[in-house]
Amino acid sequence: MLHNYLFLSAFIFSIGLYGVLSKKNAITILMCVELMLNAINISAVAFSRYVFNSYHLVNGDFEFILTGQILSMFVVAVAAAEIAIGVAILVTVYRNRQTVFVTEGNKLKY
Amino acid sequence: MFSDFELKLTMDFVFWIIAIPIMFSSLMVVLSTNLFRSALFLIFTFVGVAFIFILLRAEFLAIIEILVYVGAISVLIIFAILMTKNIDSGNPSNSFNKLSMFFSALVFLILIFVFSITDWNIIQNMSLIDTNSTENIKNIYSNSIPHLGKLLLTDFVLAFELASVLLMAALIGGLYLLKGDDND
Repeated sequence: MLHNYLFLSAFIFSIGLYGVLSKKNAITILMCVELMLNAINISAVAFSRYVFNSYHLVNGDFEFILTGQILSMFVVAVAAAEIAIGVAILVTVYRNRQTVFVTEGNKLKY
Repeated sequence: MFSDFELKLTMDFVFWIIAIPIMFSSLMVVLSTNLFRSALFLIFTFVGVAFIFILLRAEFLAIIEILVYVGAISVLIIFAILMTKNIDSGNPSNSFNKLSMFFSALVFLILIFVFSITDWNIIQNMSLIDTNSTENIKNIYSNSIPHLGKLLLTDFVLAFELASVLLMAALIGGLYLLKGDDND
């Protein structure tokens, strides 16, 4: 069961990595970053569901099975902050340069 | 009612029913030439990931996924698409297209290899757990939100406060960037 979720997570992560590395449009790059963060969320929750640490079990501390979900919550919060700042930067760049292509942001080069 | 094997088979079946549309739509996010359509496929992927969370007994996280990703982040992305022109001009790749395809396929294969050779300490091996622990874990999963709140305000309180400061900074920064000139 765990391996199914890990396969899905790895697949979505690779798609996001491909999009981030190969696309010109900054909006697509932001979308692919969101895909990668979702893949991380899936694998964190799957690990916290299926994998256990015998140290916690011996000590009778059973809330450790929810720590993966806590990590996913923080990832969601960081993703929200990241997309807000990303869209703000993108709109500012579009106002100044009339483009959203990251390959054309090369004014410092010349 | 069901044997363990039948239950596992049903879970696998439900998982693939949810996972195959997710994989298809996440592929279409990068392959679609229309930017607006790829944003819609991204929303579809988020909804599917919320279903995956429900399958993993993380119902609260599924609700958060729907609220934050489908409700807020995709609206921001569609807003950014509509603010910028040339939606139909395609979704071109830069000069690293073949190289990055190769690299991400390599990363995928390495991840699958590492996931399959690692000997995970799977919780399903019930012979390792006594019945008391199994009962406790079932109780936590049947009513997880109080436990999540308790963890957030005891063990992870520093990270919780830092996340709130980060969201505040992002709010102020976004407003400042989008403010424009003062004189118009």
